[in-house]
Amino acid sequence: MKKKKTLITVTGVIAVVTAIIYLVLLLLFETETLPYDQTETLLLVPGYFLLPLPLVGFFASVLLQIFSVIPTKKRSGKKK
Amino acid sequence: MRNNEQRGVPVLRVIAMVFANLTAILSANYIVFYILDHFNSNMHFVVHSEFFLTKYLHLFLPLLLLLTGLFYLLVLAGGGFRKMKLKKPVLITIVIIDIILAGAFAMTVNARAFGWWPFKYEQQEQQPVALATLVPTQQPTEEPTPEATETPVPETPVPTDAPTLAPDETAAPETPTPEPTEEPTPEPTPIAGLLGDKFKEKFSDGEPVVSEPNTSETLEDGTVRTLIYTYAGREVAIELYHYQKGKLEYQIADLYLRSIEKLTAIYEADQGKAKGLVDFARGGNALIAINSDYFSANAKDEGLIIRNGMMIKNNPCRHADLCVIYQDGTVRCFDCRQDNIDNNAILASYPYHSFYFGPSILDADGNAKKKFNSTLEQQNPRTAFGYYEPGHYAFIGVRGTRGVKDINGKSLGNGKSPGLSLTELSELCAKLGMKAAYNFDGGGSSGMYWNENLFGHNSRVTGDALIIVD
Repeated sequence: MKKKKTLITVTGVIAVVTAIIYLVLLLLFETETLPYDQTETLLLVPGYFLLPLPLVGFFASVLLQIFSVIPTKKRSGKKK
Repeated sequence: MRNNEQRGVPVLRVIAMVFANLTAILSANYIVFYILDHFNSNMHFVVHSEFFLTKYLHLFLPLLLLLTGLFYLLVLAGGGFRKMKLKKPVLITIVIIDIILAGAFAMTVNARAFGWWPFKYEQQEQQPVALATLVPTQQPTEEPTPEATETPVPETPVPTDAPTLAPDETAAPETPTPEPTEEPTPEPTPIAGLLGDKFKEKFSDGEPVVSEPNTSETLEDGTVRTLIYTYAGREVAIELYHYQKGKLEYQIADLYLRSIEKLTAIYEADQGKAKGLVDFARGGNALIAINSDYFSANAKDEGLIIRNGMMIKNNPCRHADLCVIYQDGTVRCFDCRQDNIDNNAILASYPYHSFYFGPSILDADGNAKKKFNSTLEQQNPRTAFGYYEPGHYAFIGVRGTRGVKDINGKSLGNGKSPGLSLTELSELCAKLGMKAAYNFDGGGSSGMYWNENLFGHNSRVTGDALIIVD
């Protein structure tokens, strides 16, 4: 149970931190505090910057779901 | 206590799972698209998709990820996962819904980019309309084809309030008549042309002469200027210079044209059929080519778009700068925020090309500007079009910080050139003595093609190119 909790916590924190970093960067790009490529106005961020987000997003969301449905150890002595 | 947990937690858990599922679907699609894009350079399509979800994907994705993480942590804090036990039918249902959602999303994001999309969901395309012409034209063309280099026959009568050219400027008919091309002139009549007798020494009376002199000189400011390519034909002359100042690299092609028809646009009005600059250039037998405004992506609901004397889009011009190249060879740029643009007036004044992107780089007197109708002022790979006088133009390509590729798309390493800001580009154009200059689609779209060479990045597909043919 403790291991499962730790896994979910770590994955969840990674997801939240990554998302926050991207949202902050989006804000910086959009306000032109950070420069970005001219023609990617709608894209908001340069192309090479994009891949880590979906990678983290995909693995984090899948792992969270897997961890959440892993059956926990049955307590000893528990009877139906 | 046990009952409370069972009742209270599942709601959060379901929300968390929904967010997680959506995040997984969006991310998976994105990753697939990214890999496909590596081979196809079609990333542009995600960006310019009309779909709300895909257009703002880069905002939705981190938001969804944030919510997913937060809800899972929240559920965990409530101790909800202890009781987690999904029944088989529920799991199967979730998986099926995921597959359907993933498929639907994959269609919206990827399908159109690769030509699989069976439905037309974009706004109704306007039918191209041939505009009145000033000069006698060659064989008419029914439709604007990317390879077409001939000026279409006007289907509309010449407007009565249209300006007229000076008699010595063109071989125009004496009086505009509704049927100006009744008797096309198949033989290549000598055209005094846009330049008259000016720059006579740059043209060839016989066969075209092509050379690659590679002669360099150092200018006063330390810039090394190398003449890398010349072309001297009967109606077209090109001198292509490569400039290097420190790490900064740019190329300027001096174009001398005796006929405006030699300045041709190749385009795909359907954004889904966009190509790379090299494909456009090769398809049009271009001597030299640059990417232009990519109107199919950048001017969907706004802008007056004219190419090769054909009106392609006639929408209000409100925000961007408009650049018009007229049939008499003159060029004029408009700031649509300040100038009250009357499309009909422009259409009646014999336009040959018009572009809706910008910004305009020089002021009305040909002086450098400090402020532009653009927020993208910073140094960047750039493409621009310059105008000296009727018949004398320039293609400008500026290499930027992005990687540089050869003609086959193979990386040649990271270019160190920082690119030019709009202010720097403006100063350069003013220094060269241009009367007008107009910025085209830059960044990853920027490129200049000549003689099977490509300068600049042009990693993206673009919807159009401006080429010189002879």
